[in-house]
Amino acid sequence: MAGVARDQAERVLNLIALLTENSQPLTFTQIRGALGANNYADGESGRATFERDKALVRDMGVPIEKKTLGGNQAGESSYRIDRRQLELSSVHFTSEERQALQLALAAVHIDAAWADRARLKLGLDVAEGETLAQAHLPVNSVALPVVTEAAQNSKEISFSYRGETRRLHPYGVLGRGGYWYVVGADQIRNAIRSFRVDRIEGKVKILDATFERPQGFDIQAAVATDTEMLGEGAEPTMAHVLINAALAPSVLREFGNESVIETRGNGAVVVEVPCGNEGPFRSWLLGLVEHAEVLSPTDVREGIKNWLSDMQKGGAQ
Amino acid sequence: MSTAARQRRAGERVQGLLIMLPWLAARKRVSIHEMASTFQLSVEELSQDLTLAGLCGTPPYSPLELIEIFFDENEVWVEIPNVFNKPLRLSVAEAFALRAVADTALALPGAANSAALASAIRKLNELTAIDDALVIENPHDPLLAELAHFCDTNARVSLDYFSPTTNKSTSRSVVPRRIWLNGEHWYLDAIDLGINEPRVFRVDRISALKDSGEVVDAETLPALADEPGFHWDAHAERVTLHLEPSAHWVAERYPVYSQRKIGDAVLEVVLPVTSAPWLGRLLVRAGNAAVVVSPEKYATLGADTAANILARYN
Repeated sequence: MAGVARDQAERVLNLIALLTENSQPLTFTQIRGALGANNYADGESGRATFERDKALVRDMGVPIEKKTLGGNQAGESSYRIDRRQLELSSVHFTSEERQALQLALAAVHIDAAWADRARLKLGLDVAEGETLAQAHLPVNSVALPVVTEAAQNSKEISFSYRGETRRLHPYGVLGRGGYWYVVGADQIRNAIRSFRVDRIEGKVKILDATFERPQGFDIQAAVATDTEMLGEGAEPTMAHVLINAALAPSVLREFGNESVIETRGNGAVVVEVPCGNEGPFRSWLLGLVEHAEVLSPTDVREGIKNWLSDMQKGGAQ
Repeated sequence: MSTAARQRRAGERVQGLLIMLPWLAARKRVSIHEMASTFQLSVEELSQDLTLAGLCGTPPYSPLELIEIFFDENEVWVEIPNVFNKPLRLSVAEAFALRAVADTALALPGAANSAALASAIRKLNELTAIDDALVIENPHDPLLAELAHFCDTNARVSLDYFSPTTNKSTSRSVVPRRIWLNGEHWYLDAIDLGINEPRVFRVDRISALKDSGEVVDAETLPALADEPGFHWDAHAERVTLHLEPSAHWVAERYPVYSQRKIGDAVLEVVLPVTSAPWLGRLLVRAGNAAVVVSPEKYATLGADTAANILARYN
């Protein structure tokens, strides 16, 4: 066997086995001695191979502890994997809990292999039969587990967002409407901010600094809903909008019956909705096409008319 | 059937093995086809990975330290040293996914045994330490419970529905079959008895729902697609748009066949479009920041839709 270079998967499996089996940390020299030159060649190339393997093991979420030695090995690094950090803590689900989790995994589809791997680690089976209510959870960013881990461990993070570097104390992660938001205290702007995780550019770095989340911090309240965003403008303006009968039930589900200020005989309603944020308000309104009409305020009505006129002419805005 | 092995990275293979080996250790002897299917590998890939594991071990390479893999006909069994016989802890990504799935399932209408699920979630939280740092919010609709009941009982119901594809409200006679959540909206898969075909209805566009009192034999109904979703590919037209930055949201919000940057600012997207009114509605929201490149017949659709709305104001 000697002399035949092992492929990386085989080397890495050997490395994990060795570092887990030994209760004492091992130096690279000891690792090479134990696994042989066909795993790690002599000289710099063997060291470089070891560094690549170590990085891969850590990327897989297997924690390799590093310890710097003293005495006659002063400055040399040694490595071990703590089994307790590697293995799943014992968890006992009742048969009802197992079944409920299996049904949950059958009903909710998540866009990643993560849930399936978790199911296999927990020894859960695939639920039989079809569920009548299902959900699809999009996972559109590899940064999601990273920001969740940082929030869970109260660790500061830094990342690039719309071309700017942000440093954030992440208080939590919110899944809403098919998007994920990380919410927290922006350390540069000194304010509470939320960021759409799929818009984070590049990698999220978890920093050493820690923080304490304010007691009772409300993650949901910190991220404006679509409806709330209509009113997020310089002035808290409200618009009166006439909604045709066909779309009235849908609009009332969104804004509540309390938004109705007038009911007309044909089933149409006039609702009062926030309109301070021009773009989101216009997008909401025009999504209802000719089934909705802004009655007031006049400037908002004129703004919509101008937008439509410009479009009709195909002219520039 | 043997599927050609894909080129797989070392990390993917090792990560798979670290899950497979404890799984196999707990079962001792399994069908290789069943195992391949469970781990979504071809039999060839699985055999390669298990053979790889059989080559691994630590000094002094005694049987106690080596993973022994045995293949017999269509079965595989193993002797695994202590190091690989226990399941690994959940990674943050796995814990995140499991919590997200469980929390979402808890909010599904008609969720079976929600007390057991809630208690399983509490145990998961202890295991993963993800507690209130993760919040999943699910939209609610007042019709959900009723629709879930109709799905369960194969009831024939009539519903009034506003369709953005026709821009009209109509009454339909349907048999609700399945409800599903996608992003911010709930949808209903139902058999539209007028055409005897499955149709998707967005729940918040249902303005009235009435039970006919009739129950339909489910065996006589056309089947739904296995997975819920928008199965628009067969009917959709491919529409190419150029989007200025203020209209880039279109590519985030709607499914696209493709997208590419043209110059610094313009995004070219190819969208599946199933009806002109739907596209007109999208265009009027995007304004002049969205331009139809093709097909030609939609070149003035945005302007026409704008004119139609404007007629209300004049």
